[in-house]
This record gives sequence, structure tokens and C-alpha cells, in this order.
Amino acid sequence: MKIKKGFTLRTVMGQNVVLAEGSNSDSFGKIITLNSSAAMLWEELKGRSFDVDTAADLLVEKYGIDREQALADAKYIIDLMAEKGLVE
Amino acid sequence: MKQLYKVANNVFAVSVSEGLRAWTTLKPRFAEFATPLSAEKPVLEVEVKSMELPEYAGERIYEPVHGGIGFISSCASRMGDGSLALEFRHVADAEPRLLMIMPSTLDRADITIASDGDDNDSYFLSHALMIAFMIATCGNGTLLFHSSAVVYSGKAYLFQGKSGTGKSTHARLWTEHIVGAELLNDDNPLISFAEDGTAMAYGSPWSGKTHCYRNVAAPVGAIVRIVRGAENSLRRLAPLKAYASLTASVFFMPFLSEELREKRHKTIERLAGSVACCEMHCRPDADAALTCMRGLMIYANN
Repeated sequence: MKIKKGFTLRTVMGQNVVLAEGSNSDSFGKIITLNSSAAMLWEELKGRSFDVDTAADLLVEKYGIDREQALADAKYIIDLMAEKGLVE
Repeated sequence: MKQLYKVANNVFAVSVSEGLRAWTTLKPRFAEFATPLSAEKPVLEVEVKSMELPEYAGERIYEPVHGGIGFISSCASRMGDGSLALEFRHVADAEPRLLMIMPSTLDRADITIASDGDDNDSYFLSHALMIAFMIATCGNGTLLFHSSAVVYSGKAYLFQGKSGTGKSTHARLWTEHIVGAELLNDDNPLISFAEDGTAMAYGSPWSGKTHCYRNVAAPVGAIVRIVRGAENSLRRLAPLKAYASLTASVFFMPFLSEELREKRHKTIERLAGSVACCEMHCRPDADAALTCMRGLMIYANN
């Protein structure tokens, strides 16, 4: 899967948020807050294809957690992104 | 003849070929913003003429998703030398009525209006001038803020919302039922920060269907998102919600650079952190204006 185009991760008022940007439609901007590990995954995974394994590898590499935990976390984060319509 | 205008502290120059009908309609709207020639370098130089639209070659970088704004549909291309070409057409037409070319420096706009005069040309020209102004100024902290704005007791109150929710109606209710409330602009006021850090709202030559082109500035009192509701109630938005709400009403073009996007983001973030941003659920009645105003006065005093 891939992170959809048209969404940008920014630090807004001190929080990591994903915003739908670039439209003039005046739809009330969708805004999704990410925690630091989700934000890290977003930065690392944007613009390329990935799956739960890719994301879990990153969590292991960055945070030194065990693989089983990383897989569970990665699945949780990616499911959440999918639910919010951020990935395709 | 070249004329300088100053809108929200941005000086821009407009040169129009003699007798252009669309400009005859628009010129009075700009009159109040005319400023004398000075040493200040304009942020934008616009030249307008009427002739057959020139051919150009470029890569299409923007197509409207929902047909456009009102009846105007625009699309953009990037030319080989980095220039932007923006076409504006009627949503029902295949052929563009107006072509605007801006170099990559974004400080110049060459506008051509198709030669067989059309009653709607003034709308196209007005819209193109507004887009050129937005593109030329979005990097210097100027926000073109889609809203209806009033001035009351020396402060500006801006009402934003999806089209059709009643921004203009709510603004009008203020002017009718609150003594001293006056319309500042009914569609496209501007916001920028003064040197002392105050967020200021400015009138503009672009005011939608209402002829209200006032060269007036006032500190922003509050920005209120209008939502239709069964009851009249005002609540303050939390900082992140405020940011998202503001962002939705700031004009921008998706093809502009990441650098400009970042500057816009910083300005909106600063605005969200410095003015009261609220949401007003309301009916289209006098009590809505009064409830909103009283609620805002409470925020202003805290």
C-alpha cells in the first residue's frame, strides 16, 4: 500500500498532525493527530510502497523493540491510517 | 496606463489596454485602493489586454476537482521556463475566456481576455486578479480569507463556513441588529500581521455578490465558523481545531511550492495561536447575531 497523495504531516501547535491540503473547496479541513511512532512511520514510508512488515522493520530499527511487538504496533497504526482514509 | 493599488499593505500595479470593457466594470471597485506612484516596489505587476488567447505549451499541473468556484473553472499548466499558465473558463464552456501567465518569480501576471467581449468577462478578470494577488502575496504572510467580515467597536469579526451555510446572512444580521456593526467585506477580506504582532483584517476589491469594496483595516476580534443549527450557540475551538478550521478558508493553489505552503502554514498557525476561533451554530435570525456578539465579548474580556 501507499500513503495517499494530498495529505501532509506537519507539526501544528506542538502536535504531529496529518492534514488534507491544497483544496479551495472550504471543506472543514480533515485533521488527524499522530503520536511520535506513527509520525516517524509516515515520514519514512511516504512516497513508497509498504506493508505491515516494512513498517514493523522500521519500528524495530528505530525503537529497538522486539519483532512481535513491532508487528502488532505496525498493524495497529496502519489499520488506523486505513480507517481514516490516509492510505490506498 | 499604469495604476498602483495597495491592498492589505501590498502594492501592485495594473496596466490595462485602453477601453477594455471588463475593466470599466471593475475599476470603480479598485478606486478606493488606488495609491500614488512611489519608490516601493510592487509585489505584483499585472498587464491586461484583450485579443485571441495565445497558444502555449506546458504540462498540466492542476485540474479542478469539483468543477470550480461558482461558475468559474480554472486549470493550470507549468511551461518549459517554469512559468505558470492559468486558464479560466465558464464551467459550461469548453473554451477558456481568460489566460494568465505568471513567471516562476510570481511577481508578474500577463492576462489575456478572449477578444469577443462577453458580459461575464469582468467576473473572470476580477477572479484572475484575485488569484494573481493571492499567489504573489501568500509567501509574505498575507492570507486571502474566504469569509464575510464585519467591523464592530473597532475590531473585525470574520464569519467563515462552507458555501451556502449563511456567512453573508450572519454578517448582515450583525449590521441590522447590532448598533455600530458595519460590513467590511462580504467574500474575500485579507488577513496579515502588523509589525507589533496584531492580526489585522483588510477590505479588498473582491467581495462576491455584495458591492462592498472598502479600504479599511481593523484588528481581528475573532474568527467564527458558521454552522446551521436549530439553536443559537457559540463555542470556542481548541487550538488544533482552530488551525484546521482556518486552513479550510485560506485560498491556496495545490500546485504552489512547498516553500509557499510552509509559509502559509506558519501564518495560519500564528493566527490560530493569537485570535479567538469559534464555532457558531445558528439560525438565520436576529438572536443569532446577538448571541454570537455577546459570546465573543466574553472571550475578548478573558
